[in-house]
Amino acid sequence: MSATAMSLRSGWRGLAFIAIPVTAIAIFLFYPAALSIIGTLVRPAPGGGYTFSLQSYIFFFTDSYSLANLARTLWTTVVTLVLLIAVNLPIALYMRFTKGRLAAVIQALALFPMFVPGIIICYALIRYMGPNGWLQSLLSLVGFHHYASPHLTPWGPVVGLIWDGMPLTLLILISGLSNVSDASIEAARDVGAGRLRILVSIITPEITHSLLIVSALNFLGIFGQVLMPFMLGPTNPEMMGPFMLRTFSSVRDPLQASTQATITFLICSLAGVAYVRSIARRQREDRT
Amino acid sequence: MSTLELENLGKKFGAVVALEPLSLRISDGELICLLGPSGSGKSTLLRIIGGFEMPTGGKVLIDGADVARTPPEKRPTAMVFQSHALWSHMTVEGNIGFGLKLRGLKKAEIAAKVDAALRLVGLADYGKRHPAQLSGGQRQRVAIARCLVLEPKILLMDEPFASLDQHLRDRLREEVRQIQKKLGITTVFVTHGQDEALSIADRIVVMSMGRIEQVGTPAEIYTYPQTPFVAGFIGDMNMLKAVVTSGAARVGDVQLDAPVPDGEALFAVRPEDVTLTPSLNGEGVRVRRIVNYGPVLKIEAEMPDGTLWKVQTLKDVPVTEGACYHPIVSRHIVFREDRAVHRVDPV
Ligand SMILES: Nc1ncnc2c1ncn2[C@@H]1O[C@H](COP(=O)(O)OP(=O)(O)OP(=O)(O)O)[C@@H](O)[C@H]1O
Ligand SMILES: [Mg+2]
Repeated sequence: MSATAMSLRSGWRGLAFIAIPVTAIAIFLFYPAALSIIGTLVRPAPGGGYTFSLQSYIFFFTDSYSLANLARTLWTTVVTLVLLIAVNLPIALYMRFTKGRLAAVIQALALFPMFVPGIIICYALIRYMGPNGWLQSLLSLVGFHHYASPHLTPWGPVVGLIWDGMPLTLLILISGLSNVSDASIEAARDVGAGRLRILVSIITPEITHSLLIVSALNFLGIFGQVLMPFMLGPTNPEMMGPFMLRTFSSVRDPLQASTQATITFLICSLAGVAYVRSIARRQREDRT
Repeated sequence: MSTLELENLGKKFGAVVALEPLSLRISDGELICLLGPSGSGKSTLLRIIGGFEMPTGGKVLIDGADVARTPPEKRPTAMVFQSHALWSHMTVEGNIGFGLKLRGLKKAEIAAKVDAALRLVGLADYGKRHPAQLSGGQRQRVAIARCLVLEPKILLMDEPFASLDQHLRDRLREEVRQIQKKLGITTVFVTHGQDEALSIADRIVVMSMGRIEQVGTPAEIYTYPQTPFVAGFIGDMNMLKAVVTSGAARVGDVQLDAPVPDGEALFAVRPEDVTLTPSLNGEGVRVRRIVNYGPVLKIEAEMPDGTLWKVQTLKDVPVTEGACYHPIVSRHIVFREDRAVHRVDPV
């Protein structure tokens, strides 16, 4: 059998393996998603039949309330993402370059949120940092009475989302850092680089791939969040997640809810594309 | 140029003594090989010289100045690591020029120096490549260029070619030797391959269990080992235990002179210092195996009491497997209490 025929055959066999999951995804995910996206664009015409219409999108982008919600969502996403990296990178660096019991304890603490359901995190945070919560009581014990709770302010969901996103972020950063060999850092010291220089010129470039993955995955996770902003955040403006939920179930406007969902989907797919491209580039580099 | 002196340099990792306090003088332009089995403290010593480990005590003097507490980024040393120490996100030029950039040199100056360094290691056209696009040998050349471009006083190499195949290793070793000679740079080279050490070193430092066993030229180390460890570690050696009585010992029917007080002693005999003459009465050694190594034969022979003899002869000496021979020893060394106490050389 010729080589091409062979690879064609094994190509078909490969496809057969993934046929079932792909079909399931197509039927239960792509098809309904496509239906609702099309539903936002193609509307029943008054005199019967269908017409193409951007009306619902025009409404969204001219409605200051919707725009404020979108802006709040972007703000929350970006702020949370930046803080997640700012908090986790030093921890990951510490754990990469320190061995010992303290590093293990810190790792366990940082991974702990992974095992706590989001709803419990929400209630715990409310009890801890909400008005009249633990934090306030503790602070007033030491004579500090001006504590303003972040609960129900834009910072509420940020705190919750950082909690929630920490384990994944840390794990990815640590795995990225573990690819930076001791020798390559020692070599940098050897030619005269100080700590900061090594961080900027050696470590960061070597982990850009991990940083990209962390950013893309967290972006996707944060942008579409419902629970944290719903439980911890303000109601006006609010994030897209609770906004969609309310538009759908309280306002009972499925068209506008689908429109919001489509816009959310488009923005998230940008992050998705960045993620996929980064993975593809990494595979190309590994092959050379 | 530069001398390197180590004074009472010792290192403990917790309770583990990696290096017992040792002293060593390396003169300007010398290539020293640290040779020893795994775990003997070679890397530890090298890393202390480079500043990557702090010694528990002692001094590291470069041109008379103690740098034992100076961090590596401030030392006039440069190190070639065993593997994977290139920065994969930088090109070859970027790797070599990084240290120069840190020193604030101008772009044109850096380019010229990088170019010269690449030429020196024979990679003139490879500057724009990334490390992933180079072979293992080329990567180590880049690593060497990265060190040399900074014109360090001391060049340190920790088994730089251990991950390469034999043929390439031999070639790079020769190249390193030539470059080192040309630049006259004082070099400390770690290896656990005795061939490597014997072929490039000006002097060899044989180490074992954190101690220096012997320091000497390759010829001295090979011909006059001062301890049984060195005798057994470098090259092939017959190590024979025997009891000395009135100035001589007998191993089977072989008599070995030993003008030392009576008692047990250890005799070291090189395989090439043994000649076999046919034995008619079936005494002596019986040849068990002959291996043909190009110009020489390596022979394994056994005495009736089970003592094994390694013998090396020229190819044209007629020896047959299964036949018996008298071994005649032309040179041997006598050890007692782990020191060489007597040597017999051929007349
Ligand atoms: N960071 C460390 N912590 C504890 N012990 C160490 C450390 N580094 C080295 N040692 C110990 O010090 C001793 C010497 O190690 P070293 O790496 O210098 O040996 P080596 O001669 O380079 O061996 P090899 O040929 O295997 O590289 C060993 O017993 C080793 O276990
Ligand atoms: Mg070593």
